[in-house]
Amino acid sequence: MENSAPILEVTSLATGYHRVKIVKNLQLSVFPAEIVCIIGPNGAGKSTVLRAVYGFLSCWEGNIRFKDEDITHLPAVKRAAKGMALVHQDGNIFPNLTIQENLEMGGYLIPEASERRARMDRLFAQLPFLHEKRKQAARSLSGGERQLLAIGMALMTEPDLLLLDEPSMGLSPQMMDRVFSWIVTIHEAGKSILMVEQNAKQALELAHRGYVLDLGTNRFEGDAKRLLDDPKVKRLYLGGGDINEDLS
Amino acid sequence: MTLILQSLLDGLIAGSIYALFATGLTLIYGTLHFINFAHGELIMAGAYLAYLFMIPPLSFSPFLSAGLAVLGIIGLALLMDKAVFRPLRNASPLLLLIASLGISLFLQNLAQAVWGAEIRTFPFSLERGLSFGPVVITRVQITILFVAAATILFLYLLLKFTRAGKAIRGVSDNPRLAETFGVESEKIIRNVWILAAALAAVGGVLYAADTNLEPHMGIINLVRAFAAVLLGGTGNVWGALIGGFVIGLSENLGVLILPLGYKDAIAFFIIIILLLFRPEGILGTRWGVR
Ligand SMILES: Nc1ncnc2c1ncn2[C@@H]1O[C@H](COP(=O)(O)OP(=O)(O)OP(=O)(O)O)[C@@H](O)[C@H]1O
Ligand SMILES: [Mg+2]
Repeated sequence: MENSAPILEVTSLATGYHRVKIVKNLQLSVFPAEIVCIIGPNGAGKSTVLRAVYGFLSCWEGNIRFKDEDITHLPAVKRAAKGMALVHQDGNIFPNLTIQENLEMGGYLIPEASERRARMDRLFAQLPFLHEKRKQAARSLSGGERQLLAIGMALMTEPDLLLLDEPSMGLSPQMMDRVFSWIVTIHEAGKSILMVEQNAKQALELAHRGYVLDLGTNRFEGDAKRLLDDPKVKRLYLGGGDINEDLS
Repeated sequence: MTLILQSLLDGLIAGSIYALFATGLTLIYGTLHFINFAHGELIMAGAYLAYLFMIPPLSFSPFLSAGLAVLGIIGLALLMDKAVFRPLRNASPLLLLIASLGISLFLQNLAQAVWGAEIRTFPFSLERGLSFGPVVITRVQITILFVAAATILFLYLLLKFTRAGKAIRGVSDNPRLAETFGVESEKIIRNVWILAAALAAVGGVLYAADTNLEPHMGIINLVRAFAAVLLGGTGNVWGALIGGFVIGLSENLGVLILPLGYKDAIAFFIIIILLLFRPEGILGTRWGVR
């Protein structure tokens, strides 16, 4: 894995809001068919990084390369066509559109209706509840179902790189397992995944590599299993550290 | 009884026209998040443009004139957007509203300068139509109902079943997410202006055919459309549609109990009541084109 070129490479990124710098000197890469996880405390700038990678925030410094192309200044609206997809932390569905229409919007860039249909049917096969409820407004779904729909929408364009912002946030343990196991399935289908997670332990367990983000820059990075075992990371970012660890 | 039936019919006809005004106004609100005060002038200009084509020297048929007027008003709306609203795309809704008020006054005065303040009518005779017992409907009115229904059906099919229509609803429901999926919002906004302008122009021509033309006809119809939009819940297309019928019917039934002079006040009255007690509308939430 390490000897192929990265599909995404972020070099010395700085960005923020209204001239307030939130992210600085961030280095990040994702290799083909890799799951990379960004963890870090609330407000560390994790969502900000994903927004910048997708082009919703402009890069103040540094650059972003995706599939051997410099996309640093490519607007967000053009990124889906390049093979990137982003599932936002919130506001990631169209609440007043039906589930079927949500999926159609996910595949907006697919010109042929028949191809959109075919991909939707494949998704329906994986998530039958979406098929059952396809004529309902998406706002009628539960939090977990919405998350699954949001990921499904992002998969409609068959992206090479999927960016996921806290896919397990606010979900019940069962729903969380369902979301995580789907992420594994998506990875097995050959996609690269960059995800931000609060549930750091579960996320690092299924990731290959991880980054610990704090105060807008990466503090630790490396093999996911090593981060999981690193005493400092454990103590500072994996919620409680050794005492809890002994209890479990 | 006859009077009530006749008022119901008149209310239905007026309502079908107001529904066209209101759906256009709410589409703009849903995507651009401001009430376009110049919507009334798109209505007025549509009627005058059709009039211009109908009278000598051109003397085109009413349908051809209406079609050309629709094209003209689409052009006018796109010009308005390009010159005024597009540079203000990220401005506050209040600023947009004030800008649209400016355009509204400008166009009213322009129309008055060009055509004078007098009341005009389309140059076709209101020959007596069919009567069902004591209830009378003119041929023109039948045509109005038919054209309005066809336009509404067209709008429904467009928004519900076409990719462009779904994109309009998507952008108004969650603009950031639509952008994420590669929807170019400027293209969608242009389509929304085209739709809103076409609805205003068709409605304006029908309104002038049912009543008459004068340079300030836009403002009262804006008020009616606004009342209908509030009734339906701002941004809710089908709510606005129903709202239009409610306004038309209440105006025509209202004059059975109120003096005739109060007819135009009914929409105002509904607006005040709604803003006071139910700003989110009768038919649901505030956001999104549905
Ligand atoms: N739209 C915005 N405008 C201004 N500041 C913002 C905006 N969004 C986030 N911030 C600020 O940027 C910082 C990082 O926010 P960000 O959402 O990236 O954090 P996060 O790591 O994703 O946190 P969380 O775990 O809560 O999602 C925070 O201090 C936040 O207040
Ligand atoms: Mg976040």
